[in-house]
Amino acid sequence: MQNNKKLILALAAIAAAILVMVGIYRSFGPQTSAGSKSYTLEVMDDLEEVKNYSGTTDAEVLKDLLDELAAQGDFSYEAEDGEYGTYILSVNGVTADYSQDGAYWAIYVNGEYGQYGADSQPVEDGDAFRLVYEK
Amino acid sequence: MTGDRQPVTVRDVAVLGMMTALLEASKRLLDNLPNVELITFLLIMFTLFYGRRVIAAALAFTLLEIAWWGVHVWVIMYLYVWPVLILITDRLHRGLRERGETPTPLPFALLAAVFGLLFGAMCSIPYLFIGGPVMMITWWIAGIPYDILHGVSNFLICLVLFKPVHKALRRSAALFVIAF
Repeated sequence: MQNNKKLILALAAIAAAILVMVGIYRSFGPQTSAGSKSYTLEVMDDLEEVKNYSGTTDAEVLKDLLDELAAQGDFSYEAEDGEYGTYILSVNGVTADYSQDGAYWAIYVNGEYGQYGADSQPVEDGDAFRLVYEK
Repeated sequence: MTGDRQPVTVRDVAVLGMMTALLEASKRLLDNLPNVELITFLLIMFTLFYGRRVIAAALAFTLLEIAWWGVHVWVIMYLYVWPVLILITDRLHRGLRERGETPTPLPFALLAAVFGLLFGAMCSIPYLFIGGPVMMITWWIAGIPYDILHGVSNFLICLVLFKPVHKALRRSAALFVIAF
């Protein structure tokens, strides 16, 4: 009986912890907004050749924007879902293989190094994104 | 079973090798499901029978992951999160034994749940040194949905698989006693 009480308390504590975590995520997590937003995207490949894209989008996160661009045909990318979000493997046919030579595709947002994966990075009106091949 | 003083034998190495193989195989099996994993459950179960020496299997598993994926930031995380889990499991198990109780699924399922919920927070520590406290907290918060999935799936996996795997390990532990 005493054990059951303890376990019920423990389960309740875990449920409460989950609720607190949901609250923290909703209050302080990546914020998104719907609607038509303008953006620019610069892709710098391994040879430091630059390709620019711009337009408007309703995408809420960068991954959706990249999917929209890919559907338009002049842009392609490959990514995989990892433990902590989408990880970009290749852009416009240029693959960055970290395990081979430490190369990766970095995301920059308005000049700052991106804090989120492509599936969590919010898209705001006027955002300037950069995808840069780095080693 | 848990003396921790005897020297390591060839049999110990073989058993720890089998544990490592199981950890790696289970990781590959569920690689496509982000944060749904059997590693937490297996390490808890191994620790119940083989004590703190399971840390050697956890480190060997981390080395295999490095060999497969290369060196990433998560390597640093793996080097401490799994040993922490093993040490807490061992402490909990010793506590139960001291009170003359046998391990039951629920306490360890709760441990697995808490471990999953705190996984992101524990893994965010290296970012404190890479980008400071803001980066660390931002990284942790961005991963909260994954942590909740991790905690809930850990809880269910441990609750469902504890009894059959405990029974199987009890049989095999009788065959593969290692020097504790």
